Amino acid sequence: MNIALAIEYIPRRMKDLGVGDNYYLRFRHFVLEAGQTLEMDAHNQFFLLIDDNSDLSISSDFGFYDITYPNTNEQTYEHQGLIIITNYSSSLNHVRFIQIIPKN
Amino acid sequence: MIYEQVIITRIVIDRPKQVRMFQVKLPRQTQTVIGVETGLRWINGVPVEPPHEILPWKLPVEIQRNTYIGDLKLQSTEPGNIFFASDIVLNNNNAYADFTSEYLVPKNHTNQLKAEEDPVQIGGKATVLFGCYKDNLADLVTTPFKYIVTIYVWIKLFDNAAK
Repeated sequence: MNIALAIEYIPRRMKDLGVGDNYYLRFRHFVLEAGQTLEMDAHNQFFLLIDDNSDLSISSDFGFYDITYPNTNEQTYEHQGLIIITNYSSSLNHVRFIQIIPKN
Repeated sequence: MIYEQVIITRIVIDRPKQVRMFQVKLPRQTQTVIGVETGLRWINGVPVEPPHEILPWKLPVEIQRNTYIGDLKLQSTEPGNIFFASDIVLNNNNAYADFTSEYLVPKNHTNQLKAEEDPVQIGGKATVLFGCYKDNLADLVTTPFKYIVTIYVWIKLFDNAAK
């Protein structure tokens, strides 16, 4: 997914979920050290992965993303719930998301 | 006329730590999703403990550890979002504290075991549900295995022909 698709996708998806226009957007750019695992609590939020990365594994409550993982039949770009990001690279790695925060 | 129907989806898991994304298609007449039920069928391979092994009843009663196979989640594109989450387990305690189990092996709908669906209330306008199954058995078993997870989605629908 790229940023243009994400911008097109988010309003429709939020409308489907009943959130409508009542949400905030934040652009998040995480930097992970070699072998680092990052856990994020996003139980009332959505994280949209906006670029592919071959050295990362992202696991969340509903989905999984790992381009090099052979035992899955689909990659997920929309993540929510407990999100676990693992950097398999032996060097610094970057991952970018758009964070969608529904308003109360 | 309103009536109920069940849609059955089967997922074959035969690779360690397999992640399966799938869709459950609903008929266009669907009004609501009213329940979800899960099942597990072992094909081959050796689980950690023999499934449903019935030990002779004795005192003191012992609880055996259930085998955690994987976890299943269902998502609607409507406001319900993720509406169902369940662990798939091999229940090794079917005969717990049941002295008749030595002679009458517990199965579904016997020995006071009753397999029924978990009730949910999800709109059916989207006509499709998304599912995600993640295998966890590979954490316990290193040898090859194969099993089928069955998902039963109960729906309530309108019969257009009756109008």
